Amino acid sequence: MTVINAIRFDHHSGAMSCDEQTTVGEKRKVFGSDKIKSVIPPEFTKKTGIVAAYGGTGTSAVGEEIRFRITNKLRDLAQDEELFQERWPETPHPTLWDIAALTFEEAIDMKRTRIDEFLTGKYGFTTNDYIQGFFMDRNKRVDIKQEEVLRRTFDYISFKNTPAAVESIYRNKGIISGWDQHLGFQIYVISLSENSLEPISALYHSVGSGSDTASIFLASFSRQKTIRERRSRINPVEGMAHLIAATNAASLYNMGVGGYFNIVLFDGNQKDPAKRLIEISDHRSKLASEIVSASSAGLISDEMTMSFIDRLIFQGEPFNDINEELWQVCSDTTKLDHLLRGYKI
Amino acid sequence: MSTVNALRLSKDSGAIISDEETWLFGRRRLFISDSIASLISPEMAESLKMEVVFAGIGNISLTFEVIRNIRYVLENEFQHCQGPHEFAYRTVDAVAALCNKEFQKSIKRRVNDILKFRYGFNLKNFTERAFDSGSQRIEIKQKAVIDDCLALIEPGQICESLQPLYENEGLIAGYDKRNGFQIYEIDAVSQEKFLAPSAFCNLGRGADTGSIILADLVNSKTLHERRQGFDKIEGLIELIYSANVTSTFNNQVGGYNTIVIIDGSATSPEKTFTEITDHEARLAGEIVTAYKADLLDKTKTYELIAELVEKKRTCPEIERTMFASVKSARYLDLVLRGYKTQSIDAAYLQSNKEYPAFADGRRHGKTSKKKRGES
Repeated sequence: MTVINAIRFDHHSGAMSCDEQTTVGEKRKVFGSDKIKSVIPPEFTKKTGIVAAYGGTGTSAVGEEIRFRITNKLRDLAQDEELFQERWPETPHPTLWDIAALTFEEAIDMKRTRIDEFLTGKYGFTTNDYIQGFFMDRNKRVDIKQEEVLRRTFDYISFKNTPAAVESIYRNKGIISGWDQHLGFQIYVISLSENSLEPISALYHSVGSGSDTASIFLASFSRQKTIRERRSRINPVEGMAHLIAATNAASLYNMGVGGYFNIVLFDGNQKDPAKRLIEISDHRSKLASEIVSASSAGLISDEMTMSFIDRLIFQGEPFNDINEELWQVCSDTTKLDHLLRGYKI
Repeated sequence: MSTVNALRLSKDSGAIISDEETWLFGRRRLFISDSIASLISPEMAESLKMEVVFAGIGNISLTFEVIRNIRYVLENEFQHCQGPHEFAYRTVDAVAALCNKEFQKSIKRRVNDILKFRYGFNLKNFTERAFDSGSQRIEIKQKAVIDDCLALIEPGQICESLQPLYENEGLIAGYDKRNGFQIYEIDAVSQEKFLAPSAFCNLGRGADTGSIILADLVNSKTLHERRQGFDKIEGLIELIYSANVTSTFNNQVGGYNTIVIIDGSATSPEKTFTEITDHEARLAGEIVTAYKADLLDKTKTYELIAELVEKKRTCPEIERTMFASVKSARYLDLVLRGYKTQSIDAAYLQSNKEYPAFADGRRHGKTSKKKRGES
């Protein structure tokens, strides 16, 4: 239960956003998730210039494991030149596409490992044993003949007929977004249930239980833009305001979406690699969400909305200053205060 | 799904609170529930010296249907009886039994609708294993059909079309002259009526967390207090707090609350039943939030909740007093807006500087009202 949104502003920049709510055992609501994280270790960024983050939806442990695996793999590659050359012999500078492909490989490996653990626990054999039709028990060959076991194993391996026992492995999706010096800012989506890795050609993408609502807001923004604008001319501040509006909407209308937002900004134009990926996950992201809500309710002008979003998110101005100033420019302080406290105004 | 929490405050009084969140398609969050409804008309209440409410969780259509049918039966019976002594439903227990009966009927209607739609027979036909089609007698023999029928009737079995209905539960709380204030529980799975043995009852998604708060309150009371009652405002504060906590920790719980207070010892009928909804209920939740966050002191909290319940002052007046009674209106405002204030700069939170949110003169923090130079 999540929403992960990504948007491209231009060839070099874009952003991601997510909520922080997680659901434990169907009923417990916890604002404790860390859904979008950078997956590129500093040494890899130093070597290649690439920055990227992965935002996962589905089983938190699966998303976390994918991030853990990819980060460690890239750290190994950055530290071992031979390994690096072996992996990318013809491309001295790997692109984000390569990172996305590597992420998908790790996701596949994780899926196979988990399914093998599940099958071993249940029947004592692995996917490979199933494919060859037998397994070895000590030195004795055991043929897998039981029809019901064969049928079920096929379902577990392929997710045909969506067996509930392995849903937590398959019901996972993620967005990997980032920047590299060759392809610029890109968005990719990985789906374990659909066994797919896809580059996103559109302006935005949204995954998670809140994506049905968020995508309406992002689609509405996208349809106002010409194809030239969608390709590389989105005003980052305007795009950010709509990204937050989409996340707000998911939080309002979707179960399992809520809490503070984590906003990740990518800017390949920055010379300093450390500044190419910036996270805004503190009170500023909450205030940015409130500013967009105030704007949607017609309590602050579009001009002031853009100014606040720019100063908070892009210029890094402190929370306190904007929180004070917000009230001075709104048309009705009582109404705004009530709106932000959850009243039906 | 919503949650319902009920608490007996004394032998003659109690209160019920419910949120307004519900969901569709397993994901869409809506604030549309109207979960607590009085079952009897003002005339009946006055004539019988009684009040009963039904609070339902789960499928809101089923709850609505049950409430409508109960009201119809009670009104009809009341119109046709010669006086209160002849009226069959003059106790909360009798009304609770009627609620359970109507609950069963509404579930059965849905089962019958599905059976008719799928196979052309109803539950009675299934039980007697045959039905009439025109002049022909058809025996029900097909195993797959029998299994499907059983799945519809037995909630333990998987029947997707009826599963949401089997999550329904209802709470009947009220006062009558004979037994005082009582709480009953019914549910779609057992379809039995239970008298709540404790001073409180929790239903729905938030029952696990709401029950901790109310258990804490009840645990702190002696047996005598539990039987005879304790401070009404204290009970209401904890009941509201239980709703705040469920909204914080439980999925499918949120939006505005509805609070109903039933006081059988009240001197006038209009004081027997008090309903606090909308902005008043929201403000009550905020006052309790401020109190539990140690921003509002106990005396002022009790005073404000009492004023709100007794409708002595308007919402804006009480809200103004709430902000004026805390050390930092800025701090309270950020708490009420859902900020994680522990990591906000303490100097900013406690700043004496006029908070521009209240620059319209609507409210002022305590510190800003102090005269210059006053310590």
